[in-house]
Amino acid sequence: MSENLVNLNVNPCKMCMPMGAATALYGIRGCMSILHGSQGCATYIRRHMATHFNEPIDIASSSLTEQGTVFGGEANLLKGISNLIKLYRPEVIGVCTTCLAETIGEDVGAIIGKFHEQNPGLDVKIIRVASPGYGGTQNEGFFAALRAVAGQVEPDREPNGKINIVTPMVSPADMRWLKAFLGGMGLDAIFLPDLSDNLDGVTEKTYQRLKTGGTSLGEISKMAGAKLTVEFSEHAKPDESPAVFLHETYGVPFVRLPLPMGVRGMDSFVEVLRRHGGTVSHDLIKERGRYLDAMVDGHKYCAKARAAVFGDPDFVTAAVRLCCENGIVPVIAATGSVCPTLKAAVREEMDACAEISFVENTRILEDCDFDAIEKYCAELGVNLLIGSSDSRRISRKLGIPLIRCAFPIHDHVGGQRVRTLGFEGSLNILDQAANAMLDRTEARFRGDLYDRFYKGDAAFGEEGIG
Amino acid sequence: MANNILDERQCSISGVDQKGRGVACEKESVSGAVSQRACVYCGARVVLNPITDAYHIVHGPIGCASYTWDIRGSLTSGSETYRNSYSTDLRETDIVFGGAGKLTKAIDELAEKASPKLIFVYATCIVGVIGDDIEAVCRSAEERHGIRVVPVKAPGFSGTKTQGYKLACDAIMQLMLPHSGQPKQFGVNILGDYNLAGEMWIIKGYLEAIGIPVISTIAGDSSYGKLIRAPGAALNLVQCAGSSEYLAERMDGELGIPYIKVSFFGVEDTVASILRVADALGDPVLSANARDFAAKRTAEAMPFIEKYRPKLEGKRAAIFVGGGYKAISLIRQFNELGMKTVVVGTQTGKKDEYETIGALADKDTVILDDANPAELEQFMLEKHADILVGGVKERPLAYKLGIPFCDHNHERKHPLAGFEGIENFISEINLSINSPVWGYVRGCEEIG
Repeated sequence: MSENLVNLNVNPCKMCMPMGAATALYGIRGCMSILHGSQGCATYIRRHMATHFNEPIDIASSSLTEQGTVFGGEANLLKGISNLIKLYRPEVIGVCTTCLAETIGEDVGAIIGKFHEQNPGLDVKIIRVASPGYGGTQNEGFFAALRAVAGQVEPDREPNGKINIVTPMVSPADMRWLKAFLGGMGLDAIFLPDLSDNLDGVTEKTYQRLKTGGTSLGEISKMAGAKLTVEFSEHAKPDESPAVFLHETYGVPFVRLPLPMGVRGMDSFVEVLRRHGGTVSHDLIKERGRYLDAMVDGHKYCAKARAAVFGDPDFVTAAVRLCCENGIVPVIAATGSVCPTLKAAVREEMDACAEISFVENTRILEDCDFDAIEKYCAELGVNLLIGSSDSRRISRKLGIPLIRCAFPIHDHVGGQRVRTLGFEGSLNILDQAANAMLDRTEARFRGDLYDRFYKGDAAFGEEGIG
Repeated sequence: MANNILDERQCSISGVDQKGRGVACEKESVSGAVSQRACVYCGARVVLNPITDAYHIVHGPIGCASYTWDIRGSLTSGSETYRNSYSTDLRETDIVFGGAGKLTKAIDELAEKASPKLIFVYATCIVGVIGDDIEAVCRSAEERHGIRVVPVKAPGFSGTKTQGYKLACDAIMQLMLPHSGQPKQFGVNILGDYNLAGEMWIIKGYLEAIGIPVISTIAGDSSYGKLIRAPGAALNLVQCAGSSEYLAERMDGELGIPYIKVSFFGVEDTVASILRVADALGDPVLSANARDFAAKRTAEAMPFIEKYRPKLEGKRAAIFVGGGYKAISLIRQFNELGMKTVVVGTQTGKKDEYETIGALADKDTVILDDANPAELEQFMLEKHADILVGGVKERPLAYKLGIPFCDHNHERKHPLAGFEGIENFISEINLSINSPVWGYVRGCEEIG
């Protein structure tokens, strides 16, 4: 909530659960989602995603009406499921609830059961996701969908030697990198989810209305027989975590890692993979070396940066650590999610980083809005914004450069291709940070120094020598 | 192979199953059809949002506020308040125990710290279900703070977007009625223009050049102070009929202000509208001014149009926009360019608008109400559309199908209305249709 107006959220730094759930389901092969609620939820979410990913986004709605709200939405949802099957022929359907469906107490499981009863022999897997808009942000919705998928497929517990990779929302380009990276280390992995193709598609002669990428349910069922789950989240609660679920239900060991950003983020990831049979290539060693080289190249410019980092908790944590490794002082770490664990994850190193430059005041904000972020940006002298384009108004108003590297990016193209993971992704952020500081100096130093030191040339009088 | 047209949708598509009744419209969306429409709340929000000094409090969970935060290109000459998002951000406990207390506190706090003149409170889906009495909350807040606090009961499920327009119009009436006794002055109100990219300013400029004062604008670049002047006007001009004709009717009946419908998209409609406004005021001098003005501006616009025409002539357009009145103007505008409209649809067009569209369009033009992506895909390909005019949700679909696109929705940052808009429109159509990228895209699977 706002700090100026404590009873209101002013300029939200979050979206709602169905947004995250629908996004995650885009990473499942042959999946089409339907939001059980009123028509607007699906349309708003489609618009929001369409302008970030620059892809056609089709999400159905059960289009609940007054009657459905009063007497129950079963008929609407049954019809909605059969209609979207006619239009899209999906292999998987995700039924995500909304505020409305949850508040009127819809029994989605029973409705799905009834649908199967009425349509015997129909080869479609229907997955239900509880995603009331008031239950959390898109981040929690994203994990709720992943957890639902993991929990509702038929498990194949046959040991397969694979590694499960569970991610929070990362860009399709980052996802492609992650897949190639695992392959490069010689490891066979299952990705939950895999947004790489479906939210960053190619131009084809014939348009495919139902996207053809993503991880198949067949692969997902094999997660139960994997040798390890790597979950890139330090903040997802145990009951939201697919890794915890796979461990508790099928005994799959797991590690929860920070997103692979920065030196430590990458090193801990590589170390885990190495221990599980991954080979470290010469190229990877060189890439790491090149990244370290770039850190040194940029360190003095980065040291001038006072950053506000905001977004989903795992992104914020990883980006704050990247900042700290490079001497960028993160004076604000903020998330719109309710996330009591954020403070413990970043407090210590934020303080250590701040101490080098005698920065005394830093803030860690959870459950916050952009009104609060703006207030502290002004108070704490922030000169770099790292996060979504929703901060573009603050950027303009306070004249602070913005590194667009989190969802949503509405004012630039290329949201789907933003890179933040791996050495290359980290370098993308790092170079932008260093260059923002260089630009700032370049734009100001002549005038600043002139104003400060030039006092006229007394010997030549007012007119000077010209 | 998937179907493209659901049985329930057939009656809303011309040439498929009209049974002589015309295109079925003004209906609720079909579940599972992937309608492009938003909801009741959205309808209310878009009409009221441009009131620049109002605090728009969205009472509900965060999503509804988040997805409507400053997404429209309505410009302001005054306050920037409307560009902020205010939400009570209801949580699970509020759903259980009710959100009225939180809303009351929010209004009180705002009244104390921000000194607002006007607050709108939008009730979203679950507020309608949990039964917060927002009318009572708003009424008592008005009494406590001596300001206007207007409830807009817009649960998303309570109808279609059109119902939301109506609720917004009722809210505006509620603000104007206490000021109905003011003396009449010579001048007009502009209704249903949201000052997207300054379009209202352009139209206001035309009227003033002819000698017609503009008393108030609803709701583009409006404010509480400007709104309550509206009852003094002699005539209402209705630009977006879909959202504001209902308001015009109420103002006619209750405030005695007659209205005429206008449209400032394309030369034909812009000229016709300028003349009709002047004629409606019954002053021959104004009418003469209007004729001179229109002739001058048309003459100035023609060389531009003629320059571009050879690049556009014979191309086929698909239109999918919010309201019917805009679609009608667009068909005429394409005709002016020698282009043919092959597909035309709207989210919330009305029966009479579809009749006009039917009369304007060719026999084989596909007309459809509340279309979905599957239908747009089928008909744009079948009719070989060379460009789609629509909103940002439709843009990626057009692009994936290899079809150029013109953004005619509320998020754009350049005016498309008036003579200035004609140039923007034509150049946008040209630069998309004739972009070199399509030449490469169409050979997308050949390499080497």
